[in-house]
Amino acid sequence: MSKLTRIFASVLGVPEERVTPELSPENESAWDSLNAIILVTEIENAYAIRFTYDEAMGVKNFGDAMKLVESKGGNPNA
Amino acid sequence: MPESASYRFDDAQEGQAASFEAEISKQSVTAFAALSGDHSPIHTDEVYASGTSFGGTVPHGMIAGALFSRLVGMHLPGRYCLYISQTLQFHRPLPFGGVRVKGIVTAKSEATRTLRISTSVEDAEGTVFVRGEAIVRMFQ
Repeated sequence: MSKLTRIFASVLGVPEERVTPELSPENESAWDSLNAIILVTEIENAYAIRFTYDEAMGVKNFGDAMKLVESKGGNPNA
Repeated sequence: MPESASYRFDDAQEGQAASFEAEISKQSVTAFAALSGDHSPIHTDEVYASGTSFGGTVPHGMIAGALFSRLVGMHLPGRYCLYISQTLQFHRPLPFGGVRVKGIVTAKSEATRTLRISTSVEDAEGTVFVRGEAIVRMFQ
């Protein structure tokens, strides 16, 4: 499992198998506004990257998070 | 009423630190027991606690949580923040007497307007009793 998957599983308290590109606030109630903030800060810390407000708000599901990390030079599959 | 610090998000920097001294007294424990409803004899009953490995009553570990609340609300960053989360690791029982409460900003997120603050309760020699990490959101 990738580091990004482990972050989502840990913050949202869901099994790693649950973390698929389609995982989103619409289908996972634990992805609330508080955990959304914690997810962004955990990802920034883990990959030593920084997002803008608009970039963070553009993440609508796990697949978007993978693309965003990749666009910043991180490897979402590692 | 004491004046709280008033750092805004743009003022905050990684590495920024603050600390203060606090006194943990028997009265602190009595007040915390009344507030929390935790009247466990390890905190409140000298006769009982003297028969344990601690040799006497020990303060509630969660008093450290209250001290961290004071840290972020009054010292770092102060009035313009909202607590988002706080982790706590209890390394050893809090002592009665003077302690130093420390905080240092370890990360600043523009995307979420949050600060991560490493927090600790230590003695004068730097022995850590409780360590944790706060995340606060800045609304100014």
